[in-house]
Amino acid sequence: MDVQALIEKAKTTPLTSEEHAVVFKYLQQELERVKKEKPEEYHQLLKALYVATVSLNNDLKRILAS
Amino acid sequence: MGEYCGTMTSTEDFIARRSPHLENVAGAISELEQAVGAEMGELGQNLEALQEKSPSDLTEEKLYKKMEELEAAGVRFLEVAETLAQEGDRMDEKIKALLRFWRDATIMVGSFGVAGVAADFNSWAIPFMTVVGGMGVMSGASILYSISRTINAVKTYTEGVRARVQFYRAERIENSLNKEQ
Repeated sequence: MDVQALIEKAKTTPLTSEEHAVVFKYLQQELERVKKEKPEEYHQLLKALYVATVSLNNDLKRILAS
Repeated sequence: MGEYCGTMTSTEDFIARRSPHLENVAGAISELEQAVGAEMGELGQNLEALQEKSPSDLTEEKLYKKMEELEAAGVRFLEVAETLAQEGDRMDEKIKALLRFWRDATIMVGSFGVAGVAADFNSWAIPFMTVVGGMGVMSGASILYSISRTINAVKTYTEGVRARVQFYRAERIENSLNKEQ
């Protein structure tokens, strides 16, 4: 499957699990590349992801407790 | 899931707004990856617990409250997607395109088939998150993928709660009509 075509498709149509997996595998490779070539950018992204994860966890814990 | 709008412009703004106590997020890349991995493991466990909590066990009043909370959480999740897409604006061109894909795909979640999403999520996403998180190893891509699946799971649960609320409403109207007759 063509990754660029899938990225375009995602703007208007939900992707299947298989299609998601293809794009995320590509994302994985690209992030690995950025991690090596541009560590500062990757570090910034990781910080945002960390806060996002903590926020999601806090939301879920609160909902579970209610 | 509600209306979403993204207005933040940087990681620092996002951190200050969402988690003031984490304002000084520091650490090397490997440390942050491990920290996110640990959080993801916990997130997987919380999702398992959420799935096991049946809407049918709750009273109508609690269901209304829960539905509101879940929908608010859904909007906050979309805010995360928007923030990361904006973060991509300062990054590599390919990463920028991919993060925008992730945001678009996340917004698309609302039109997924509920049953299909539930089956897909239960089959592998929770074990994946729990195992990978438990190992303390999580790359940026797998975090994004897991967050997408989290949104799917919350969406599925919200639909279940909403269906239950609609059932209560229908039952109440029917009872009211019966009394009038």
